[in-house]
Amino acid sequence: MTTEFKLPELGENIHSGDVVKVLVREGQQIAAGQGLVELETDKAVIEIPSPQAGKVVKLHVQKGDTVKVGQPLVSIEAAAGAKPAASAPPPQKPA
Amino acid sequence: MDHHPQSDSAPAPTPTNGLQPACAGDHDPQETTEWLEALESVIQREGGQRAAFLLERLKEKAFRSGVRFASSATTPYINTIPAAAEPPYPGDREIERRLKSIIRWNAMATVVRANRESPGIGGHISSFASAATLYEVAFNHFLHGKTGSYPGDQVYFQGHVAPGIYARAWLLDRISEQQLLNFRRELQPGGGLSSYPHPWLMPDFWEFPTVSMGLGPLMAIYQARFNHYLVDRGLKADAADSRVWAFLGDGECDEPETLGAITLAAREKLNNLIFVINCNLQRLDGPVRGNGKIIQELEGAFRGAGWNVIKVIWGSDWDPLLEQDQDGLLVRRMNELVDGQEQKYIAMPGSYVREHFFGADPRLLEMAAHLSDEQVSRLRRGGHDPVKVYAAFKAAVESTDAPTVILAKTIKGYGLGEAGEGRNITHQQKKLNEDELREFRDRFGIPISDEEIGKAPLYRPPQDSPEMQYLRQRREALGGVLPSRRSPSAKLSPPKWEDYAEFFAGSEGREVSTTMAFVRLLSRLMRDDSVGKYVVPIVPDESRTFGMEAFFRQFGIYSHVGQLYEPVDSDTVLYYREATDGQILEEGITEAGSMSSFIAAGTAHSSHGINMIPFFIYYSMFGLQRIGDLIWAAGDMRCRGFLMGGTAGRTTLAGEGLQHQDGNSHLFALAYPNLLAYDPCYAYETSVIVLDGIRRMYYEEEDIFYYITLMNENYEMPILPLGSTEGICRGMYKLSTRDLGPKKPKVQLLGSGAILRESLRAQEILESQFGVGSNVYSVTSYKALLYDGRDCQRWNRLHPQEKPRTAYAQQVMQGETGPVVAACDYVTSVPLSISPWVPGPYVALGTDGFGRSEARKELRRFFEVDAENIALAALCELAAQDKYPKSKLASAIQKLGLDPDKPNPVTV
Ligand SMILES: Cc1ncc(C[n+]2csc(CCOP(=O)(O)OP(=O)(O)O)c2C)c(N)n1
Ligand SMILES: [Mg+2]
Repeated sequence: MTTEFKLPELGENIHSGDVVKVLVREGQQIAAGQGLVELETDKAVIEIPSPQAGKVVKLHVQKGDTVKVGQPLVSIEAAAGAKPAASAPPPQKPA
Repeated sequence: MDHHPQSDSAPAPTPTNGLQPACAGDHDPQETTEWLEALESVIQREGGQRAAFLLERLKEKAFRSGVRFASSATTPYINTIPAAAEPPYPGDREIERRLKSIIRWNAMATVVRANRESPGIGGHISSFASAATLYEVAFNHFLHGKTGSYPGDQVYFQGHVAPGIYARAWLLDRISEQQLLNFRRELQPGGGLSSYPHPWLMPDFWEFPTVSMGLGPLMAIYQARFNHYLVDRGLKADAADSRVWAFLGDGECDEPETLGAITLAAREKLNNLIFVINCNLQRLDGPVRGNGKIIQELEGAFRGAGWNVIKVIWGSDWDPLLEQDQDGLLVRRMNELVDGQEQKYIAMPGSYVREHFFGADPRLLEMAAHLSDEQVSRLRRGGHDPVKVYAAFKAAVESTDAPTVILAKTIKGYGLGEAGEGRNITHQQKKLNEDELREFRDRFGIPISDEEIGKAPLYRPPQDSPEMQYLRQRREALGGVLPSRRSPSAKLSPPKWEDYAEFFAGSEGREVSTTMAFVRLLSRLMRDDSVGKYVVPIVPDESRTFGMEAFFRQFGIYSHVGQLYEPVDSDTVLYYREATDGQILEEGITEAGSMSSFIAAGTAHSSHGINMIPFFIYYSMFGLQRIGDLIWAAGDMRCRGFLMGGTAGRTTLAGEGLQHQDGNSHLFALAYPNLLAYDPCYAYETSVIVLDGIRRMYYEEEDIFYYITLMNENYEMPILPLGSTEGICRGMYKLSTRDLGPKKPKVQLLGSGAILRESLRAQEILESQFGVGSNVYSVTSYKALLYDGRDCQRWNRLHPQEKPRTAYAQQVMQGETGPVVAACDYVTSVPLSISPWVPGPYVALGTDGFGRSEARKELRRFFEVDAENIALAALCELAAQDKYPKSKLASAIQKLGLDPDKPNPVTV
């Protein structure tokens, strides 16, 4: 199954960023948590991690684009057995 | 009549805070007795633990029923470990006593002789005299050396007890007699010994500089925590098996650094940490708490913070008296006595103590009736009784869930008698006359004849004597001698420059700050195969200020217990992630604590044999200015790493004002001998400096560390100019030339940090409006140029016959003539420091004065470091050389839009 991965909520007070580097290619196999793009906001450069393992089937952004939260970044074809997550990998649950 | 300040019981004050007075008068002794008997029977039948449980329940019940009483964090003024619970002493007490006496004697003789040799030089006798038992019990039974199966303990010795540590090291043949006799004379033939612990001066011996009071205990706490960090991150499995011992003075506890981080130690459950506080009740001038009780005060503070507190107050001589004290009379007398009074007892004969201490109540007098005056005066303090001290140390090393503090009561100047025992002058006593030496000898039984005694000779028993054998055996059994500093090679392979090409490539039109560029570099370094896992980012609650929030998720914030809650921002990418193997040390608002972590990490090459690469990123104003003494200690310790002064520059940090805008740190940095200081303007400069720094510190293993300022002004970052890397590292390189031909005047412009861009703008103005040519140099480090220039100058002075050397600044500006105009975001003394190596007349523009809230442009105009002011300075200097008409200067001022009547910024 292919899912379109949209730019998730980055952090409080951050709504968009400029793509300074695309870290994956179309057709590339990626692991969950692997960096997809580097985004630059007012002050910080943020690496956006992939929510799931799979194959990058389409890149929706390129270097220089400004991307807003909610805008598609990449489409990922899930690796067999992998379940797509809604957003970033959740933190470990309280012990 | 005498004044026992608390011996008259004052009427209880009326409670004003809703709390019941803790010790209201007993209106119903009958009832009290019943309660006490009930408690006693629980203790007898079911033990102390059950009794403690019931007391806790009673307290809770009282509180819930509205009885508001706060029980104090202190316990009665007696030993925490009851005599009945003391473990048997494992050593040969008689041999240990003789050894201790010999060490006492030699420590004293070292100081006395140094002082006789050259008056004015000396040292401290009375501090070690008070602490000798604490150290000897530790050396013979607890402190682990670094050989065999031990990772070795990390021991922070109280700085001014150094003579005692040397005296022991001499017995063990670790230092020569010549060195010992040259105590505090390090430049003498045969070598000498440094006054205090300094790894810089004695790199095979001392590990931790402690004599700036307060730094030792603070650094010890963060060292103990860092040892757990190494374990939790899987870098060194046995790092937390090293125990961290900090020996300190009771007076030293007045330094905010001493107590400032004790809650961290308890919060982190640092069971590998032990403080031993030598409570001799005195500091330099007099009593630590004449009108109070320092041990009780410290007990309350440490227990409140969550430490395991062990008081060692009374020696074994007191045990029978305390056993007789059924109704608690003696303990109450002990509780009420203030330290100033107790100090008086030390200096007075036994009869005085009998009259004034026991004499407060006939029943107490009765208790001491069987003791002679001599015996009364010899009733020992706990810190002089090996049995009590051993019991406390043993309990401390067995603590499993908290750091331990041992509060050991001692006598300052113990054994000095009239010459200083318990006297207010004792701290600085370094002269003993023949009688006093004889008394000392007799008291400790040192075999030195009457003929010899006046010379205060050193004494060492024959090598095959039982004492010397015992001394060596004990150290062998505990893993070797101590203190001892190692410098094993732990070379890392440096990052490959090819992998970092993007950091030299410029920002391609985007406007970014050097801070952003650095943070990106740091994140790349942390993923580097060869050095990544050794990087330790340290931030004092400023990650968001520096755009480092992305690190939280990526690398995790170190927390021994992980994350016990779901973070409020868990639905975002950059959520606040704490993890047991987190790499970031987010220290909270403590530059001093962060710096202590930096030191622990930056000295891991020596303490743990691992080269760690700390990056401490902080508000630059709160670094060298605020915690300069710790940075000095870091230099002493041969610490490696990067201090990153963020939000730097008096005019570059806009808006923040007087307390935040840093124009000082590069001036302070000049004074630190092995600290390299850089003020780069461009991202590629920062990257070159950091990568070269990693090579120098972690591959070449140079004992240097770095200070680099980072700014938050956004501008386009150019590409690394070909051939500039050497200049970037050595302090300056030529960046831009406007040669308008031989007929036109020319100036040299030096720019650094964000102000380099003003120099470049001045270049434009000078060319387009005034027909003046120029070279602009990027000065990345005035300090590097200064140190190099002075070194050349010195060499030339000492080698007049040889071909003179040329300073690097002169080499770079070879063939150019002045005038030279420097501009930077720091005080003018920084650029002025290189005047001797600048061709022609030299003017420096800087930001002397208090900062204020404004925007960058206005601030630069206010401090007169903007392009217009640089241009004017250049024109004035040209005019002084008749290369520009003086008559045109007034109109130039006008043309540049400058106000000649503006007040001098340093005055407003
Ligand atoms: C920061 C700092 N301030 C002042 C001193 C000077 N000084 C050295 S020892 C001392 C008194 C120490 O008293 P205490 O800590 O009680 O140690 P003791 O000698 O009594 O064991 C002072 C003030 C110092 N070394 N460091
Ligand atoms: Mg003291």
